[in-house]
Amino acid sequence: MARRRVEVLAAGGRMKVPLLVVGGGPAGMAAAIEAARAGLACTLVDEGPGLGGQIYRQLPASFRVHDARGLGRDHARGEALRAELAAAGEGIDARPGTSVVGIWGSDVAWVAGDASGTITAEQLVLATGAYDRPVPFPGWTLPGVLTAGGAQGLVKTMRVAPGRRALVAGTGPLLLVVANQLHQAGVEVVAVAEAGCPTWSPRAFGKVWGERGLLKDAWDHWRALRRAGIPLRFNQTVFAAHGAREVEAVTCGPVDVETWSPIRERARRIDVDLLVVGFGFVPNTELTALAGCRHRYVHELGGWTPVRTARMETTVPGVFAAGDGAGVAGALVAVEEGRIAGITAAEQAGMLGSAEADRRRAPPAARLRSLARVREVLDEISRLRPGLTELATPETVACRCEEVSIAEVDGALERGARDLQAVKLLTRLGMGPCQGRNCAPSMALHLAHAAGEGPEAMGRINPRPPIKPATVGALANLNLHRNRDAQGRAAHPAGSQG
Amino acid sequence: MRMEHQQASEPMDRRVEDGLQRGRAVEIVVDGLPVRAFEGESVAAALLAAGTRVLRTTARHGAPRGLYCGIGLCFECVMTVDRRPNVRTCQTPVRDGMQVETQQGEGRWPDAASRSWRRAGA
Repeated sequence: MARRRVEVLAAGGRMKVPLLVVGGGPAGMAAAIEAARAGLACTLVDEGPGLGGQIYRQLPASFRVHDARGLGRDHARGEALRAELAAAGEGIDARPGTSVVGIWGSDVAWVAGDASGTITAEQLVLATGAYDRPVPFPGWTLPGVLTAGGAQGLVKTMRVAPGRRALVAGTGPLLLVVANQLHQAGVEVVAVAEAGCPTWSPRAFGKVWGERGLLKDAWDHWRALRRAGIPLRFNQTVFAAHGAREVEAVTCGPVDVETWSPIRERARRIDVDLLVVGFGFVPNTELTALAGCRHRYVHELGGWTPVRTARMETTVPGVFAAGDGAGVAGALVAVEEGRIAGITAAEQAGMLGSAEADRRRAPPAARLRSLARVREVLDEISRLRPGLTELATPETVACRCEEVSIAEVDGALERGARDLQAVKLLTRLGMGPCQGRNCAPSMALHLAHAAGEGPEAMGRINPRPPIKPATVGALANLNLHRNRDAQGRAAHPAGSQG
Repeated sequence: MRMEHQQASEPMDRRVEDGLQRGRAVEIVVDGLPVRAFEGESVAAALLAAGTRVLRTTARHGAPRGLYCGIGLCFECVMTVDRRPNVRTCQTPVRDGMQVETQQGEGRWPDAASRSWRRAGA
């Protein structure tokens, strides 16, 4: 099979490629692997220093591990995928340390430090991953409150214990994983507070039996927790974090089994210096939004997700979305979705006939069907309940960047705001550097709770390029406006955010 | 304002030492005080290892903030690094001799840089 030539245009950092994959996590790597196997050359960019994304993140290149067995199953899965990528050959041009800051039609703007450029991609796979769902409660901005993903990254790849004594709270199997990792790192974990409660009906058991391997992960983590003497408390959560400058204590207690409303009269205070919070994940949809893809709100997938076909095609021709960024379902699902996206991109580029493409898509599609049954069971345990929005008090910070309180958001509601966009204009909510990533998901639920409607009716805070900080110099060098004059050639970094 | 880094009298090290060889030992300077770090670590990780968790104070209320998301999305961990404000320390690897400052509010660019920028006529 003939390999497509990658055309590199020297002028102004512009480059033309047949396929650009954005995101080097499980979905992006799998898409690149399948495309390259079919002979379609692809460029793979990721913001991180190496490939792997969050879950398969590598240790820093300068670190040496004496015994890799201790690094766990996720590490082994990540290594296997990286080996597959290496074996897929020279058709993959991997560029870590590269942030995509905007998409204009088929032009994708990237920044790497003070360097920048534009890639014109005939096809685009967006595999941008997800981030920890922010849930506001009093004290959640104190240093010492970390997301589950953040704490895991520190312990796993930096090998630093972020505190001495910790409470882990939220929902989902990741809590068990993080609690064990903290314990192994020498942190005293006082408890894991899981807001949900599993109901192991025979029907649920039947559904997950086909994915014993995945269940074994959860089972192993649970057993390790028991061995460590860390109590797992169902239908409990954190109510508040306390401390003058850092976390010194937390209040936690039971929640209503159905609604997850906090039962405050039964709250108790625990002295900890670390609070790890994980309420599931939110898909990163900034790039699918900038690419013009249609989105819909799917509660069990984490909120707004791009509308897709079973072949991972979005509503924009030539643009595919795969992995947690297109709907949170975990790394194993992400890999299979990525494979399907890569195969379909190769098919549409003319590198595979439709019969061959179907043949290649069949195994990952079968894996997805099997994994979907496990998801159903896990989703039911971790389905967010409306009572979670009651954790915040009027003084609680809603928008961490612009320091907008819940009281100010409610004030905007009283002044007639009916959606996120109106609240943004009245309060500056979502106008800071995080672009609403940390406030929009929770405030959509808060507004919906107040209005008695669904969060999808609250709209979105639109992403604006550059979605990641870039110096003015780097932006000027992007060459997006070809008719600019010499004055536009600002070479000095003059701002960190656009 | 100078933050406490709890390292002069009783050096704190929260690094996990198990079957791992870190990169070369380096030293970064945080608010004028030396802090030990290892190549490959992020600035945020090196600071947490030294027990420093307040990385900045906010513009509106002067509230303390620290590492939160750890993956470069929330911008809570920004500090002034080598005189450049709003640098995400969870995404920035340490470098020997790096100058890190606890950031107050939105931070500021050094005057010298803005002067030379003006001189350049950009």
